[in-house]
Amino acid sequence: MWKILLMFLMRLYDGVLKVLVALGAACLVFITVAIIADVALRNLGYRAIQSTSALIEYGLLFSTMAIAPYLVRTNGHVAIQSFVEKMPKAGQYVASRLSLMLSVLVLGLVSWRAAVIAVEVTRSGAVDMRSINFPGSVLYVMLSVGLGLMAIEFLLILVRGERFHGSQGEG
Amino acid sequence: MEWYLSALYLVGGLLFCMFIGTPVVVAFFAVNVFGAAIFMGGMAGIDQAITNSTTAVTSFALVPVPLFMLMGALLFHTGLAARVFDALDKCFGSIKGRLSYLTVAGGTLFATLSGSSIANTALLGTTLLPDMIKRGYKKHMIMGPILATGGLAMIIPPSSLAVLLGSLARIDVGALLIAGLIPGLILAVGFIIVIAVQIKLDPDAAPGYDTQRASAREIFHAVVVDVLPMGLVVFAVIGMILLGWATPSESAAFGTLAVIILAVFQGVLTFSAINKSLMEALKVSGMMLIIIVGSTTFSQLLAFSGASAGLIGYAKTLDLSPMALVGLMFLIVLILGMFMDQLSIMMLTIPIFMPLIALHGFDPVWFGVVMLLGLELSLATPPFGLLLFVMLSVSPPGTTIIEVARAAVPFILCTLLLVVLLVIFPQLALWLPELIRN
Repeated sequence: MWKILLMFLMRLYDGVLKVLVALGAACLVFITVAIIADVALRNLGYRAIQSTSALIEYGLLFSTMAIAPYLVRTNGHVAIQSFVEKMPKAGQYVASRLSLMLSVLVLGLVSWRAAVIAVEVTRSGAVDMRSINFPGSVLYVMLSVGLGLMAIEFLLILVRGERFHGSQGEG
Repeated sequence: MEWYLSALYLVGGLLFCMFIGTPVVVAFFAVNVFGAAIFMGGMAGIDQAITNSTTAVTSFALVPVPLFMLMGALLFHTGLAARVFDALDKCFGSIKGRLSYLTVAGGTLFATLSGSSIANTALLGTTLLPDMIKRGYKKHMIMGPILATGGLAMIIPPSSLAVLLGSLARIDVGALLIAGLIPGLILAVGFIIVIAVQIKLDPDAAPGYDTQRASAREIFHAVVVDVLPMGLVVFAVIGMILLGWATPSESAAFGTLAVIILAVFQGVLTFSAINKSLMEALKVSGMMLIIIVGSTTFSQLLAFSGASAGLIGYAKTLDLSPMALVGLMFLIVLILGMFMDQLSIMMLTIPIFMPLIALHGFDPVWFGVVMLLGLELSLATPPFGLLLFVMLSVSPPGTTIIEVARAAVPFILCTLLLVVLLVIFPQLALWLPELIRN
């Protein structure tokens, strides 16, 4: 019974990650189209859409947080491995466990605090004033969810006894 | 706490976390969270650091980062970039070392169309390397030009890294993008001269062979159909900024649109190409932007803890000339580049370098170009430069990292020469942005 429930939850969780990736990609499409429409309107002498810049700015954080957990799963975040690879096997194991525990702890802490701030901001009714006003909690919710899912992904790697190899970055 | 102890905790803690293999974003978050607790007042400090993180990437100036990636990925996955190479290949005929020259010419052209040096290197490697091996080019004639030209995308506009550097260091992004154009083109010419000298010194390095010569009609057709339309992409990105129709941030979207229009007209736009390009752009930009989310409080912590002021005060007591100080900064970037990615180097050094640059009255745009050149070089700096390993993985069997590094040396010297030229003649970088400003 528990096993079935666990499998169901894991499938649901995988589905959530996939949906987030798809939404992140859709967000890039939206950003491209919105900018083109905005500039075209402006240069044709019409009034630009007021909400565009604020939506695009929020879209940047959304797409970043949407792909972040998937990047953990696919070893996509930048990590320096050149020193770890020079260590003896036992040293590599210890460094790997240490860095995974640090990742779970730090990301979990930040996710929790972001959620707490989101609740406080919602209670106070604060707004984020940009080209249009957004509820003040939206950015904190994005951060809390994205980093929370990252912490879960690192925890899964830790529990499975695997290593996070990371990527080498991009120029 | 003394400033050097604060600096040791912040910089040393960050380096320790990175060196044990912690993802760079987590390393920054860890140092910032614990640093904020120590220097900014416990939990209130941590909450402040989190508030800073939410605003770090919600900035319109960062829009080109994903969009330049998308543009480059679309060019690659639709096959438009490969067509440009084929057309240029026809133009070169059977001159000695044509594939090495083609690497520089094609790589420079693709650098003006793409914002990513990795995409550029990948394109050059996959397109030209197998043919160069088959034709019997010596290893250094294969690896050197690809290594060197791959990095040009970092300095020739559009450059994602220039956008990030401009946003993070509060340098005019448009001016920084444009400022890289002339130095980038000079560098490309320098690379061609290096290849010519290498062939002169060792004629067997690039064997001469007869290729199937394209007729003038074929060359004309290839240039008109495959190369000239790329002018639309260059116009969409650079022309729209110069004409004042779009800001540098907005022009990236038009670059993407231009690639899509070209792909539609060439009949190469497929759902698979769009899907792959979107995923690639999302992954790479996500990887870069989340490091900014994690590291945004780092510069404030350096300032808050007194480490920035202490370091600046210490730099003043060193009695170094301003140029020697810039040289030292350049050296630090190169050393960090031996084991660190470009964005991490920027996040670590910008909070320390920029106040010193302002203190000595250097033009930030000029320094931005010099720093970009340093970052470009660091990709090919032994022993851990990323591009060295990328090259090693696709090089002929039996190639060692020493051989790859040795192949890069003449091109590294060429880039260093450009840095010297920029020091002597800053207008090489500043003339074009000033012209546009006026």
